[in-house]
Amino acid sequence: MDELFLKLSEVLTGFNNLSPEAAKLYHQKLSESNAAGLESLLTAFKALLRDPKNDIEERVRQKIWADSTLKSVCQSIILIWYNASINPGSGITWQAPPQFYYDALLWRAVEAHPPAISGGYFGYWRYAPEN
Amino acid sequence: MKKYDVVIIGAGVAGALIANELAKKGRSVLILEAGVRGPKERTDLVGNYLNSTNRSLGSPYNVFPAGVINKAPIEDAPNLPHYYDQDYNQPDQNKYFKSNYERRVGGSTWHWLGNCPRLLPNDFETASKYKIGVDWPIKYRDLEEWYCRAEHELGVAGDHDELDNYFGAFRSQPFPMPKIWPSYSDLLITQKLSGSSDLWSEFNDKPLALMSTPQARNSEPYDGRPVCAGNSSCVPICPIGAKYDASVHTKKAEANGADLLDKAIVTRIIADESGKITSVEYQDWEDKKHNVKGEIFVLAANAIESAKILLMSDLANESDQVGRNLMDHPQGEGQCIVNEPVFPFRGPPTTSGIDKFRDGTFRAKTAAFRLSMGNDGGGRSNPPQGVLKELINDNFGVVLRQNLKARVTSQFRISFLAEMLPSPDNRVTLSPDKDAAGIFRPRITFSVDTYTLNSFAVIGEVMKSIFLALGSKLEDINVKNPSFLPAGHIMGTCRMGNDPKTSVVDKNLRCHQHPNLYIAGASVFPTVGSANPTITIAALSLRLASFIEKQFKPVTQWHQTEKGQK
Repeated sequence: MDELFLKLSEVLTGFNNLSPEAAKLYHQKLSESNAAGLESLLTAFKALLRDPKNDIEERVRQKIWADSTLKSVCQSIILIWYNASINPGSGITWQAPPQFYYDALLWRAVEAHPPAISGGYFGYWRYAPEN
Repeated sequence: MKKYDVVIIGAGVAGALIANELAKKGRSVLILEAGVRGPKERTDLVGNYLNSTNRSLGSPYNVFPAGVINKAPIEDAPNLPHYYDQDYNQPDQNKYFKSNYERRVGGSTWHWLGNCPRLLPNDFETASKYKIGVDWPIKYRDLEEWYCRAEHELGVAGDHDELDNYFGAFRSQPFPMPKIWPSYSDLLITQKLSGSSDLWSEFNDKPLALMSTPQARNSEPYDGRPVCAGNSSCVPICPIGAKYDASVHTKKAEANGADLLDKAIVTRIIADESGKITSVEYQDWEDKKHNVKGEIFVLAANAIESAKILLMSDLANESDQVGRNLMDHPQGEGQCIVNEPVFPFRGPPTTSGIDKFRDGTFRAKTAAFRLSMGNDGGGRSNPPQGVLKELINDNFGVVLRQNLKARVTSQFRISFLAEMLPSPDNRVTLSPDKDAAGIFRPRITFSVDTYTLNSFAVIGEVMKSIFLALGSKLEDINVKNPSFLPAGHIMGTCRMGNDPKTSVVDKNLRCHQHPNLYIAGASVFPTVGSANPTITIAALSLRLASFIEKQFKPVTQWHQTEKGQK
């Protein structure tokens, strides 16, 4: 199931090569609060993988994102990967250990780095990121 | 029991600098700090920050082992009741005090940003120049030498030529380090604003342009500390110590022979019948009472705690000014979307500002203010986590990733800090309620007056004009600030002045009523201008240390040798 969670996470986040270790942790953490919802989502996603038509992102949009219950579970998966925490901004209820915080996708998406870890040498901020 | 030459209450930047200066001269010095020291390693504090679920200002610091009760509580500490006694149900957000501070060895400099603008010459003379506030009993020229020394002690990086004589603030020495490099957005905005330098010429004849903000963070290796590596977490903690904090000087003071006691909460300063201070009473975190004697006493416990200690001691208050004139620098933000990426969240949260609005005849009616150019997207009001939450309503996958990048990398904010006038009604008194150590909590009465609040509308228009000049669309601009944000600049409460009837300390920071009691820190500021207070606190503290040293006879060679062998 962790592998399926990882595959779905890559579709939902828009990032490839996500960490299996983080996937295991996040899968477990989200299961604690919504095991049934997560299982339904993964079952629906597994079914989509069997269908060779269209690209997977489009199939997720049509079959999963369009379902408000499944969409809500998808959003929780996106948030945990992007923030390395649950419920950021409105009272975080769980924070992943620091090594996962450093990999939070939010900072990679905006070509920055999480606060409290160096972005490089003195003055790097003067230049545009190198991608 | 040992009698110290100097007993200092508070191990923040003021107390630490004074202790180090006097210990260097061979004086026996004791620092009493209500809060804790350490942990030993900075990385432990960074770990607290990373593991916290709120990432608040105090998140690295207010972490105690199970069963340990923090006997030096602060406002807004997680899982603790309010420390301030004030009307939190007050519907008007501009009528209560929002800033807090750290009670620990090193004080609030642990989580400051490091901005070190000096006060301007006219800031010391607002009554004479603009008929607002009061004049200080000293002028800019009296403090200039000490500003230079403070910049060297803290390690301030800045652009000497750009700031020399700006609004008449002459600089007799260069900064010890070249300026912090500007951010990518600073350079882009400078370019975009180049055709708009005459905007707001009705304020004064200074061009509307970015200037490098002097900051106590290393642009070169300095004083045994590394160069800034752009970790972007100055507030609440620099993970590598490139940004100055006062633990630098508490360590130096101890190395020079000073004693430092943490978990030592001062409950009373004791005077004899003549008004001379004889001793200080403090209690440790086990609630055990102690007493320490000294020749000279320095109260440097920050504007709220210093006022509280004087009120608890019933000292220095013939003027009825102790606790009055509490001030902050009310802040706010404006945000926009620039029409191209500015790449925030890389490097220090700010490296430049606009100082044009810090002085001018407009101050007769409207607060002076300083603008700070952000390098942190939408700033405190619109963090990227909020943008993400909004975007996932519609998108996921690659589209989400692209939209998030497009939005956040083009977010830009300006924050302002505004001058606030002293008012006797804004004050600290003793609450009937006690804290965990059984000590009076501070009761605070506070309100931001129209002089400052009216400036918000003006500042909003200034920020809007800048955003438009940057090519932002009107619908992408937000400059509404219905209330103020706290700056953490806690000032006033023990004002300095020549007249004992209207002030607590004289121009040498000596209490009018007590020949051997001095007050250091922002509590002595009669007015606050638009400069972050720390460098002025540091300059006044170094000046005070020099004055105190002159009260003693020269240390004998024998004493110095003995110290050296310790």
